[in-house]
Amino acid sequence: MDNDPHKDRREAERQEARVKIRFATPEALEKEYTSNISKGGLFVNTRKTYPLRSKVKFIMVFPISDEVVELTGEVVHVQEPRPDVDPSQSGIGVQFIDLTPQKRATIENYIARIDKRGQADEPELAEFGEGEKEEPAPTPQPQKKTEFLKDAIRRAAKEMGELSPTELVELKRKIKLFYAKRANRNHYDLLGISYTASPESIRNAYHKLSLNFHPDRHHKRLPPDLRPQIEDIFGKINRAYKTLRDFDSRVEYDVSVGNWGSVPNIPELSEEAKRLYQTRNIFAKQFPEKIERADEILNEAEKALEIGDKHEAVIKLKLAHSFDPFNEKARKLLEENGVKVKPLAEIEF
Amino acid sequence: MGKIIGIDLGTTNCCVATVADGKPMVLADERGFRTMPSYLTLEGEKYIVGRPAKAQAITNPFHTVFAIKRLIGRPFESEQIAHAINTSAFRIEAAPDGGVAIRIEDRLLTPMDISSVYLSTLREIAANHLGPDIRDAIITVPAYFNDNQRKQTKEAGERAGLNVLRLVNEPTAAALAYGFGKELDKRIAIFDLGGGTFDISILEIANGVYEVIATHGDTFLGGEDFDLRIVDYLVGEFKRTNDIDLSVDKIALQRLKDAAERAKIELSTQDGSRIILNAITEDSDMDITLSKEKMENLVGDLVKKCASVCERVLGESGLTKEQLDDIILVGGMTRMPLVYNAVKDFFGKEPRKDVNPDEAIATGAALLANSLERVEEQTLLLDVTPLSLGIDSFGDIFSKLLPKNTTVPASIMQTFTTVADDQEKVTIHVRQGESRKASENSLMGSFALTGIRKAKKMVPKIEVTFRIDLDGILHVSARDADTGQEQQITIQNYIEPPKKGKEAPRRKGSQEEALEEAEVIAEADTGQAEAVASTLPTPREDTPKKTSAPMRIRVRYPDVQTFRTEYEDDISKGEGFVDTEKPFSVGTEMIIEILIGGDPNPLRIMGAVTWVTRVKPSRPDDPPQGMNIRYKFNKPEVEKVFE
Repeated sequence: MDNDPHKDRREAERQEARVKIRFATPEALEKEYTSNISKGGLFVNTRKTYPLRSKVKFIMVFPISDEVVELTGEVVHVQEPRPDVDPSQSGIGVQFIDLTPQKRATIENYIARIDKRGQADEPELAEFGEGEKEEPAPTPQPQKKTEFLKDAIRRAAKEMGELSPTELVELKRKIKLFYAKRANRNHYDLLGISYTASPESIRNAYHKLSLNFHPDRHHKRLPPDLRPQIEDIFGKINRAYKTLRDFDSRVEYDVSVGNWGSVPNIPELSEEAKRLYQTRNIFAKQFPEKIERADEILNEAEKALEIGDKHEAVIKLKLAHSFDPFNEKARKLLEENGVKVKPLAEIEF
Repeated sequence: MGKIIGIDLGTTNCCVATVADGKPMVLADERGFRTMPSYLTLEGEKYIVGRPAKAQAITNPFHTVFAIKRLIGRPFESEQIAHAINTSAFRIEAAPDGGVAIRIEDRLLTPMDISSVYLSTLREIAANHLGPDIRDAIITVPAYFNDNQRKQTKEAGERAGLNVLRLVNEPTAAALAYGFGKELDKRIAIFDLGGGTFDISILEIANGVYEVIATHGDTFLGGEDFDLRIVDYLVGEFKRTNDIDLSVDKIALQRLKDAAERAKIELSTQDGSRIILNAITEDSDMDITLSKEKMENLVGDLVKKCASVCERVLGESGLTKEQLDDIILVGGMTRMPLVYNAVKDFFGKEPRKDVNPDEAIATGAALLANSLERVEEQTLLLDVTPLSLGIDSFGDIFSKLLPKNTTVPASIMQTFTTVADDQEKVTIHVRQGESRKASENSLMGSFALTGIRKAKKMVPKIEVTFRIDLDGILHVSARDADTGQEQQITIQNYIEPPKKGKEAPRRKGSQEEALEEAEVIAEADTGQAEAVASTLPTPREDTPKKTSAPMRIRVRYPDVQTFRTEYEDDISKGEGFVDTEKPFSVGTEMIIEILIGGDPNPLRIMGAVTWVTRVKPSRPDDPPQGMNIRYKFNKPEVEKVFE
């Protein structure tokens, strides 16, 4: 950092720059990872400039354990330092070229397991070195007194029943995972069950998720800022379960999402409902590609409807219907758009 | 960390428990009693609570309070309170907040005050076992308690120096006690008939999760009512044979009630009970033999009432009687063979008695406390809200936002809009109940969202969020999506004002200040008038054009000079405080009629309540009760008065 900037720039142009990023705290890494790195990129706040499209090698040093992950990125965006712009806004946007599943796993594992002892109030990216220089001498250790105080506060927090840093990381990871993998899926995927799940296994899945996410399972240990998320997640789990628990509302829901592929394992399923499920089941087995194609076309049709292209939509709906006559959604949309369709009972294949 | 205790704050008996070494344990008082009668009296300056208070009830009926749980959080003007006034020897008066207060000698105590004395006593009992640092507690409430009853109970706990971690529904707590130490995969019904309240809850227990599927109840049905039936009978018999009406003699009634309770208990094991009360009047004794059959006739309809509640809860749960694995009995009243048999007949199977009906609730509360503290304890309670929550909408329709039996915590957001052009304010009335007619459900409170950006009608988007927390207490917020203007309220201890035509007796205040009297004139009118003006999906609105009668208060000034002082101090600034024991709720708009000297024509100005103080001042320097009003008026017009 003490070098002449012009020299740096010339070097950077010639050869791959090397940047060492040391994260001050596991939270800082976690935050950066979830908001940026996991999506394949990173914005590095620096007053030094790099040419667009140049390659930069990042050495990410994890706090506490000093584990390292190396990533190579390409500069895709440059924000030159300007006197009229807040210096925190200047820097480079980097797209990683080699964020392999292994590297992801290394980072994720670290986040999941690390105990955040020794966290300090330092900026998110503590250090930013460049070139092949050695990493500058570590910042002087925090004064023993403050360290002692922090420790005392941590212990007091634990006494009061607050989450330990590890538990907190684990909880945040769970929340993040839920939002990433389940929150916006259909009720079955949200609860992590199959379409044919029996009432009992639906209930068990619900209980399992509740044991994970109900606010009482964290009680007063729950940091106030996480409570709304936890309550929101619990609300979603609840809604999904309440819909699938009741037989009638489950069938209604199945129809609404076009889930006609299987006979659910419900003892009290009516004969008619069973027949429809079975018919569709046989159909699906015989023509899986037809159903898949129907779904695709239906998607396109819905998009056409969204932008108001009714003509296009009807053509696609008819096509989807001919591929999969049991697709309730296609039938419904066709009827809504004034096209008559044969009743299910009359369909032969 | 101090131990957490579980408290069953019952109508007739209380119980406190904790968990030690992983096992629930009821904490007995120093004389070894595991329950404490919910009785209170005064001896000099000291409260006497529990067994000694109950023991002297017969000799001191006017100053012995009991069954207070049936009064908490209820409006003075209600059927139940009227009933309580007729049947209680102690004096029940209207409290300033619209609720009730009990007069003992020269003191006026609210049900909350009394509950808080019980809770302090229970805390002391626990402290004798566990050491003095008892702070955290879980208190049980009837599942069918409404928002206000819950809040008052919670506040009573806080006044007793307890940190109330949770209010838990009594049958749910009992289910925890039942399930303790068992690996269950069952559907059960908890039939809880106690001293004053009746609840039934249906739960599914599996994987350590206790999930309430449906709950129903009656907060005014319990052993007390059974006793009163027997008392009525004894009074009738005595009148027939001796031609003396004992119903006017409160001392005699107290003795009869005591005797009735004993007879009722006796008849659980015997076929007859002889009630002998010497000198029930100055010159006559009572000697009546009550057969079991007769007694069962007297209370038959009460038991039937329980059965009909059971019918309803089954319907709500979507289950059949056959799908229930066990029926668990809780509450002292389930010892009565008539009740036991009725439950058995209704569900078609032998009810189980494996929990102690007097202790299960406190034990369950303690177990819940333990599971909250210890994450490794894989126990989770999923409870529900007993009553639907919603807001008023056009045509007296109650629009439910959170239907009953919704698992808590839960929240829901709905978007509403305005009905008039340039409308800057909407008022939202929150109610709780099952009637489709808004006016038939109990009003929990109302609040206003002001500062809506002027726009054509139907354009603004007002997002109303209902959030019900784990205590079953509601939090409401409204937000103008456009301006971001937000109102957040936890509905305050609000007791519905009396219905039109009845005026609650009020204690006259003695403020000798400039504001001589703030008089509530048309309080009752508004309840009706306001129920007109809203449409769904639009909440009720306050348009300037509205013709219905708003709230009115009347303030009298002895002469122009005092008014002038007040004007210069307060009114001219556009805001002022009105001392009154009956403040309106926040956001209420009103007409303030100012009467000066002997002038019969009042000066009228508009105002809206911005905040209220409902806490009764206990010391002379405490802030007075009343409401702060933001005035809206034409200054020159008011100043004309000074000319």
